[in-house]
Amino acid sequence: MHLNDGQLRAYLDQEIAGAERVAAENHLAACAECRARRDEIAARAESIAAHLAVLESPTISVSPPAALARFKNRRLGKETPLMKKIFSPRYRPAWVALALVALLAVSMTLPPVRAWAEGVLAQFRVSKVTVVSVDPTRFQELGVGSSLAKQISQMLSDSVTMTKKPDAPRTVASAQEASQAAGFQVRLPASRSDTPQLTVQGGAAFEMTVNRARAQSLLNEAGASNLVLPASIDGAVIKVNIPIGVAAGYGDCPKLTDESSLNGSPGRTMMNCIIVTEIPSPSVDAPPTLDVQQLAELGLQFTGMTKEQAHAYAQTVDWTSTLVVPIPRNAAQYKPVNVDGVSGYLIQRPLDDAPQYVIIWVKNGIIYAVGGLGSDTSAALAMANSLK
Amino acid sequence: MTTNKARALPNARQDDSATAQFDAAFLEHWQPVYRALLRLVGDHAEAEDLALETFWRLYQRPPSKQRDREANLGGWLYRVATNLGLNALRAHKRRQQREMQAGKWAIETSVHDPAQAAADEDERRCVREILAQMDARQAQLLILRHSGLAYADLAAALDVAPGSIGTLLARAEREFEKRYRQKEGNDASE
Repeated sequence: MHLNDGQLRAYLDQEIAGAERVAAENHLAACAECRARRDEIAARAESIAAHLAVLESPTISVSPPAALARFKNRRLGKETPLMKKIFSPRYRPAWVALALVALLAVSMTLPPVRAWAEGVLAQFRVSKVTVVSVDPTRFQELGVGSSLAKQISQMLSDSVTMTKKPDAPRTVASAQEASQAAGFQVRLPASRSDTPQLTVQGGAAFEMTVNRARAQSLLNEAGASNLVLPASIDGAVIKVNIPIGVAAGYGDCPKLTDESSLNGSPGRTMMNCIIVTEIPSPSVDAPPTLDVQQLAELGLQFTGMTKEQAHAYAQTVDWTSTLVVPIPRNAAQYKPVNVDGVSGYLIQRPLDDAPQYVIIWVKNGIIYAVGGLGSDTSAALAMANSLK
Repeated sequence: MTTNKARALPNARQDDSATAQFDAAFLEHWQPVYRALLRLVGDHAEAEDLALETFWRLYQRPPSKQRDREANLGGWLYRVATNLGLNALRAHKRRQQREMQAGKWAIETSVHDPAQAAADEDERRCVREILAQMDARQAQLLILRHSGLAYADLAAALDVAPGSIGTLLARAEREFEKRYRQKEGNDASE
């Protein structure tokens, strides 16, 4: 009686033992046909093991206790992302504006405000913009939908009180009306003769009370337990005020006030849509006990810098007045541009199906962004340079 | 929020001993479940998500068979995890995106030999495509065997007799080889 393929396979894996194994060996010694089949099966098993071996990746393993903590935080906790709370779907601004606000929010979570340590109740307003390149893996962990991002949002939403809800976006007829509604002088590109879709939106204020222990436990979980938050931040109340902003859509843009048209990623139909957004600098109030430079350096270390790099970089930025936009390496590229008489940045995400760009700068306390799809940014730059 | 919480936990365990049991099972099985998923999907964040989802299923709806709940919990988790992983592989669009990212990552990190990195990436894509197209149980068997499970554990994970594993494995390997050769042929004729 010959050995079947299953028996030979199990034999090769040492999964046949005792008398059965002895019998198999005896048969193999006597039967050339079974030996040939055994060799064939062994060769195949080996080649498949080699194919599957390419699937090994360098294990960045999540330790079981950290994973369990994530599981509990993520699955058993309530999930109310901060951004959702502040900018609930009803009030969702255009995707470009949203991206800008998200960048703002991220930069504020890396407290970029050294001057908080000065004065009694120091206030910060941005007057220029800079970018900092951050480790993409870290950024990925913080990406939308990641468990860490959810936990951070969760922590923020637990400690954040909205003091002013954002207004629903509404359409206005002219720059003048927009200026009146938003409370600052709205500028439109002179390079365009077509009428933009103008909306006024947002305007929110919230207060956050820092819980040091919770923030530290998130850092630990993110594998950054070497970063120790200063005791001085515990209980600190941070007040953030985000003014009303204005968005002007040129070309075939989605309806900026219509939530449903803004869901999902922008499609090719919007290839010639360019959106100009203008928003006065958000203001942040924090108690002087907060050592903000230290926090900024921790934030920079968290995003992938060494202690020395973070310290050196922190020295180069005037944290009192600079909007620091974190740019994940590889996922986006940036370069400084001269725009509107000041220096700003052109940030590009080279996505295959729909590359995105945004030009961002700050002038006279107003943050400007011109964004759209595609890799040709000349029209957007011309618009940015012709704001009146 | 309180209503949310109540809805999210249909089987919320009230007593501490059940929680401790769950925690112990999580700690014991997390690593192998995560590793098997990482092999399958090749992306750390996605593997983690899928592993968390696996344990969420355990938490929400523990296996109905007592054997699965006790002696064979690991096997049950492997079955759920590899099913989730194979489904993810079949979600074509996400796979492409991930492969693009993984490919970039691989090329960026292997400074020494970009050509080799690209070839490896092609190979990974090919292997994952085959696994996604194969009969799910055959694919599960291959991935779990390669994760180091013994025949008894494989039998428990796939809910088959231990004596049939050799036969099933030989068959799955034959099938994989056939599909791999087909792909090679296609690529060569392109």
